[in-house]
Amino acid sequence: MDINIKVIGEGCEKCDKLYENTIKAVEELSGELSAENLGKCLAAAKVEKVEDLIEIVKLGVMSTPSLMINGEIRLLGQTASTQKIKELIKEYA
Amino acid sequence: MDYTKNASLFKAAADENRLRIMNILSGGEKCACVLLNSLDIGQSTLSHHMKILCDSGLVNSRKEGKWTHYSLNNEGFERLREAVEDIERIPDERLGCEPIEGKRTKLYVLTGFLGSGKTTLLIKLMEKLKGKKIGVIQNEFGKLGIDGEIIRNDDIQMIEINKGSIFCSCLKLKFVSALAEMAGKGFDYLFVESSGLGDPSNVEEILEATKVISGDCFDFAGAICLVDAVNFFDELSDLETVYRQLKHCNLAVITKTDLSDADTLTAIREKIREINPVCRIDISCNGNLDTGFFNEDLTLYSWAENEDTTNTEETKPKTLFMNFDGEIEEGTLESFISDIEKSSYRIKGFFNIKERGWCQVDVVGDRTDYKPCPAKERSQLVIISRIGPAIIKEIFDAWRKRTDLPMELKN
Repeated sequence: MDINIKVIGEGCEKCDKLYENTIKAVEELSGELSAENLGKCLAAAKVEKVEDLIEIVKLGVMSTPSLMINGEIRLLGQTASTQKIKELIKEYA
Repeated sequence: MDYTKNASLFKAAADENRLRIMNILSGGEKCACVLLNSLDIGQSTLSHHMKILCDSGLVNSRKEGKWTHYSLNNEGFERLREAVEDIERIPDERLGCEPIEGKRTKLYVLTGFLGSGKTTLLIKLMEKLKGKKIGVIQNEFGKLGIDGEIIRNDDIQMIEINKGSIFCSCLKLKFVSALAEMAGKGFDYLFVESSGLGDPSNVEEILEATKVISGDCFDFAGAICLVDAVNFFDELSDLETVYRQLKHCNLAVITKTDLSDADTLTAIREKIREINPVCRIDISCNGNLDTGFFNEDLTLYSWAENEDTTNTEETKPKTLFMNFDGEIEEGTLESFISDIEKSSYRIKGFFNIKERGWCQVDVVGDRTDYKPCPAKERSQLVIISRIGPAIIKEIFDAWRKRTDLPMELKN
């Protein structure tokens, strides 16, 4: 099962921070979950950074930075800690 | 949406007993006595409820002898259903719009360096367009939105976007939101007054994004760039911003020509031509301008293509806010300003000056203008720094040197 993760936002510190923390979250989760064999689907987790204004608007996001997992907006207009992002991603694993 | 009708429909339905009554009536016409038996209420309470339900159109009544018989009114329920749809539509109202009778809003973007006269021009344009429905999106660097105070007027709807440039990645989305909000309102004209430091190189991209949300509601009528005849050459060598503003405009207006001379004007025209081979060039004198361009298609004078803006978080200049209570001597204020003006792009605000009263303070380059204005709660200055946060120490030093009255400096 693939998990599609989009980090939405461009050109600001908060957007970069969210992207960093999301990448870290996916890496850490892949390590933690492999013991339960769930690491497989996380390995397929794609983290995409959406920076183009028109793409962002098409996704219906009007505030950045934002985090979208499998099409659902989970964080809007704010960044979050690696831990919090891990918890959010786990819900889709 | 008829707010009164909708509210009264919801109010009528918003009661437990009335909902129970309507449920009972869904089984067909019932006599009041049946309703009384089924509910735990007295006769007068029932009458009270039935009156509300009948007045709202949800229930019909028919008198037969001593008793009244009630039934549901289908039309009333249809209206209730429509009212619910009206409410559901509220969050979506800003998404997607059908241009009213094919009318699109003419959108003008106003650029020009700090102090070039954008707000003055905007006010003149709005006077010329009296009677038309006008919207304004105003972009200010400072949180205070000082220009907004000057434009505020009952006939005009305005959205302010502060704390940076609307073309910068940090505020672009807010700009698109504001455009989308203004889109469905049937304005004849929408003016976007960008901040003096705004670089509109990416305005096309922003309008494309707005189209995604609001459909084709805007008719981009042109970008007008104001050129300050007095300070132009200094500003040009300072920042790429002025260059970009000219490059991406359809009409360049040279302002403050009354303070300049023929040779300088010729030199300015040549320079503008160098930067933009195609734009129209007009002149403004004492804030007056020939507004014939409203009836022309300015977009014929297009040349440059969409590119990335130079407005980024890294290049965002430091803006500071100075607050002051009480009155100040004119001389003190003047000296203070002349101490810090070289380190600022722009200083503007309102001050309570001894013997002059409340004045709007406008500093561009080395010139300070005072214009009487209505009284405010406290004196305030917005200072846009040329030298980053280093200006903070300069401001404090200059102030201490001139007076020991208290002053507050904020970020």
